[in-house]
Amino acid sequence: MRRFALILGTLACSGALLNAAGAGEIKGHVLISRRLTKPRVSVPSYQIRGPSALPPGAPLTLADEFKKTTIYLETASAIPATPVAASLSQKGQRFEPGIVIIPVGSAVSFPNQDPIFHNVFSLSPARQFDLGYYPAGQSRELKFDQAGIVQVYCHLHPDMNAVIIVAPTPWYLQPDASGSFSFPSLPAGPYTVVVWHRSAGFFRRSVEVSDQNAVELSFEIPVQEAPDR
Amino acid sequence: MKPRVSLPTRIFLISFVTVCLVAGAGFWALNQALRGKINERLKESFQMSGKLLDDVAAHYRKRSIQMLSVISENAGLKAAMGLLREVPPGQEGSVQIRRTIEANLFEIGRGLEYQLMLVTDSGGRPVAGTVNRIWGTIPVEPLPSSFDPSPLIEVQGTLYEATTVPINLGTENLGSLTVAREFDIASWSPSGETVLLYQGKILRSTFPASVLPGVESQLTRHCTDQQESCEITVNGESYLVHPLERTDWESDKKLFGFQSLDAAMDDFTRDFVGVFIWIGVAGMMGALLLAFVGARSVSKPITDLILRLKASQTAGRLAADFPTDSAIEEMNLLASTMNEAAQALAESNRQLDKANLEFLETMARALDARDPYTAGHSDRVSANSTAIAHTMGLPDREVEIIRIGAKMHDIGKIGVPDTVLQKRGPLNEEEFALIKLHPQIGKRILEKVGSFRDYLPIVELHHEDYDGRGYPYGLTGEQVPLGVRIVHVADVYDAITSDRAYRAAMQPGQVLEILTRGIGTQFDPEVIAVFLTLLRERQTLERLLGEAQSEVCYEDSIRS
Repeated sequence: MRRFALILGTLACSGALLNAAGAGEIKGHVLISRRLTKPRVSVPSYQIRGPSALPPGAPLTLADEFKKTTIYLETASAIPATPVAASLSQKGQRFEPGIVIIPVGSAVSFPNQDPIFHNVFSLSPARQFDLGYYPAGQSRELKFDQAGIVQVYCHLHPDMNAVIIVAPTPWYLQPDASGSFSFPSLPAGPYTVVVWHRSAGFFRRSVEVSDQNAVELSFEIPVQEAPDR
Repeated sequence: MKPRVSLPTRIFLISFVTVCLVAGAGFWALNQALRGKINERLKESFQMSGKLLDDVAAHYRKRSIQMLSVISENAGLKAAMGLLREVPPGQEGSVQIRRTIEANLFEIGRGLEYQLMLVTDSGGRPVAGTVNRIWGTIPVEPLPSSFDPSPLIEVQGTLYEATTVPINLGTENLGSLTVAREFDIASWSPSGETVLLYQGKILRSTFPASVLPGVESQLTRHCTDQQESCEITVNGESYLVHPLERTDWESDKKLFGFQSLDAAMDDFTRDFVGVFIWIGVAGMMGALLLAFVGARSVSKPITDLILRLKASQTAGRLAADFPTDSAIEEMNLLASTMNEAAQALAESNRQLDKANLEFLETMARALDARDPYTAGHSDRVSANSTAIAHTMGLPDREVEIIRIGAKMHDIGKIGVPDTVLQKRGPLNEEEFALIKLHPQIGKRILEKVGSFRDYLPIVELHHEDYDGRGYPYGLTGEQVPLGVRIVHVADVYDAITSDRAYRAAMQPGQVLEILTRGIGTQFDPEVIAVFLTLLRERQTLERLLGEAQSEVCYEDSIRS
């Protein structure tokens, strides 16, 4: 299979970002490779229903792929993180935003801002729940105590979906528009860098961080092209 | 050796065999034409039914896709499949995901007629599936390691016609859902056979396994054209093969419908077989009759001719009466030729008879001339006899017989010695006996020639008397033919009115007396009466009446 690297961004190593505390650093970039072969399933032209409507005038770009990507670090010892309060609203028959990243112990509220009934449920092992059906204006709240991926769906609208990433450590982020990422000021020790892409799933790499130098990583994520309309 | 066959048999065989051959060729040609027609019809029906079936299949597929598109918009299914993005296959928890999807499929498939449902992930790997068995719906176990979502798929050894739709989540593809029903090859050619060819190999067929290698090799050899029909032979049976079009299939899979030409012929001819048999039998009978009549009409005239010739052979005479009114020109020609030949033959026979007659007359005259006393005797007897017969009103033919017979009546005297014949003076007993032999000698001379048989009585019996005292047999009255009785009178009359070596000619009176005295004894009275009238008419009667004396008339009458 021919592969075609699309990533153009080059990581300018921002020099030795020396920390006074002598902390280490993990930095790197994410490469999205796209299989240019046609998808294995072709949709007939007369299919009455295609994929749910895309936001108008927004063709998929590389930046969109990075927005589907989350990177966090796992460590052997528990690192306490300050819980945050996040919100995942239902608006225009979509979950808004599509990705929510929170540290363990945070709570997420699910306000229904549409004039119709919605439902929120998840089958993900990290947190399985079903908030039931509730009408416009109401909200539900849930606390996430286990790290992992929580995919959220709506029974009433099969195309509505969102992902809540519960990070086990305070180190979590999304790559910037060029695919670069950086975790500065890390205590020395073993880490596992976890990259999760909504379509492609998990990519893990174990690294040893020392005080002296930065660990540089590169992740190649193969992504299936979106099906033809 | 050349076989000898009679003319009718020959004609019969030639015409009958020809008619049979022509009829047979006609039947063969008819059969061929029929076969061509049926072939054409079969092709048409193949094309139509193939198109129909393809349309039905396409319609079915379209409906399936529409339905599946609705079915696949299922939040539970999507949520379950979304889990695959957290838990890759093989990891802990993947079994639960699979069971969850299977449960979804059970739910979806309830009430649908699909035999197989299969879900693959976005990478095309099968993740869960259900299959219908007689006892219920069960998970597909084990799952196939890979899956190619083509319209015709094989799962666990069963061939399915499949429809696949993607399962999308927004712009993302989660995987695909495939539903399938068993591919029933027999349904594609209900009245014939069907073969599914995959990359030149037979994948499925309704033929028994034993003939498959032959079918396969013939198919790949003869039926390479995508559109055109072809013919192959299986177990001695001719099949019309037509590619059944499947618009949604890849080109390496081909479906062929087989229709038995022979069976189609049988179907068609079953209705007409009775008629055909009747026509055949009637044709044969007609040919038989025609040949028979033809042979007869040709041979009959010839056979008739042969029979006629045979009859003439038996009769010893060739009649010039062959019929020339036959409808056959050649036969008329033949008959007229035969007639001419017969006429020529008859003419030559007449000539021969005439020559014989003249010869005998000459002989008789020569005999008369041996003795000056009897010279002209035969001619005179003939003249008088003819006159009498004519007067008595006998038919001309008999008169003619009498005229000639009288001329030859004494021909037998050739066999009588001259010494006796010309003896002067009375004859003794022995000499009389010799004289009396001459009628039979004459008869023996003449009977050798067939055409003289009419004269034989005159020669043989001209010395028989009316009262039976004559010789050689002593016949009486009517036993002797009238012509002979006439000649007898004329003979005696000439004898006694002529000079003889032993006496002179008698006087008229004597002659008359002898004649009258012989009435009823020596002569037929009627003949004498006529003769006397004749004599009178010759005006010699008066002279004859004046003299009347004779004693030697008896001897004269014997020697004359």
